[in-house]
Amino acid sequence: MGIVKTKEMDQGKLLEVLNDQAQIRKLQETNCYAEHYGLTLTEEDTKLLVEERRQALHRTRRVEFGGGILPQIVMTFCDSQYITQDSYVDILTRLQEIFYTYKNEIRDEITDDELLAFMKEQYETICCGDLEYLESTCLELFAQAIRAGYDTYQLTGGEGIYENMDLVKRWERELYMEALRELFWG
Amino acid sequence: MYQMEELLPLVGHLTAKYTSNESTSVTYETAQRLMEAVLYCIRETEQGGEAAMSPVPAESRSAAQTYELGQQMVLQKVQKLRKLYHHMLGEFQDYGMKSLDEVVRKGIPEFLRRYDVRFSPQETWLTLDYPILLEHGDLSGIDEVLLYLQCLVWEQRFLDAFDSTYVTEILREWNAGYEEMYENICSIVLLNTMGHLLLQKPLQERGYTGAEYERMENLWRGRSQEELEQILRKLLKGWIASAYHNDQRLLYYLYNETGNAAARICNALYNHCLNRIFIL
Repeated sequence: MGIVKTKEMDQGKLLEVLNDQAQIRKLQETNCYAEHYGLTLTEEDTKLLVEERRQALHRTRRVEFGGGILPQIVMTFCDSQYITQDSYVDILTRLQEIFYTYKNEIRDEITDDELLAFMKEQYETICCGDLEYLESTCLELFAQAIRAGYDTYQLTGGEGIYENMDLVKRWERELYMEALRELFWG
Repeated sequence: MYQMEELLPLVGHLTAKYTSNESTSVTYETAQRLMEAVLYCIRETEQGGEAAMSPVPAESRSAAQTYELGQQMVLQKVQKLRKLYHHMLGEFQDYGMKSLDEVVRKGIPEFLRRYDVRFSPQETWLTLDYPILLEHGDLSGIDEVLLYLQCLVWEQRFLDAFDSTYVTEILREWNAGYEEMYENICSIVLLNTMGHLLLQKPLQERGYTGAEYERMENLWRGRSQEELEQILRKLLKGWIASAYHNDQRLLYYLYNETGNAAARICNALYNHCLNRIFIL
């Protein structure tokens, strides 16, 4: 894509265009990895995601310098069992919004990697692919805990910690399998 | 001086350092603060004095070079503040005024501990409750605190010429609870001293008689505030020349108070209460 430059285009707008082009390029590059999981982004998809990114940043009053979080979101979630090609763009859009929202909620006390690790783990296990549950329950509890001073996530990189704050009593896997065996095989 | 496309990469670079490269985004407020940090350092170079530090002329410097140079200048000022503070502390006297004691013994060390040259050079961190004779509200960060401390150094120099007991007696006569006041000590002592200078009365001769008050009223009655100020400045100039080795910086610092002093004298003349300002 060439750069369209007119006399009327101010410097700010030019910077925006250049930044968007860089973002689109980086997103397109993720296809090399994501296509192994049957997921690809067309040029239209990436333009849409970049536009959604701008709006999400505006809504959450955040600024991104450099590459942005979208490529990382792709690399983290593309191997998910809950994402298909049909839902790929919509889910990426939502994940991006959720990510920015909770960076604010947690007051930037958590790194990008830690937050993404937590989100992925919960999305795949507790949430079973339900973004609403991820956003309104798991992340909400996580943010509350961090605001209250919880910092053990720093030791684990954001993984394996939700059980410490989960309000729902859940089956432990081994116990669950044992219960199943007793039920069906006496 | 520099366009946004030159400044944004600097802010981006600073943001990466701020987040230790662990976050790809920051809030608007953080970005704004970091932009202000960049601009603060760039503005430092516009104050002059940077020529000796950089072989590259200003018009040829990139934003990044100017920013780095500005940061160096800020660092130098911090070192200057530290040196000035430790030099002043040796013979510092607060004359019992708590606000002065707080700012010097607690405030300045706290500033030196908290001041963040890299990410928040524009922050002053202190409230600087003890008032000095110069306006400093349009300054911030190290510029504000350095100027403030320099003014305190001048004030200490001025007050050192008086016996400390004499100073505290004047303050106590001015206000019995002066320790809790937020008033400048020099302004009170200077005003009292003007009476001595006008009457050509030695400072060692404490207090004023009724006849002396009357003489001062006669000398000043009918004069405008501007005329009074000119008289005070002339008296002050002569005194600084003889008692302070003609210290011009001290003189010009104290000139900031002569307008206020003239206003107080006018008010006292009108209300026939010169004894409230010429105390000892």
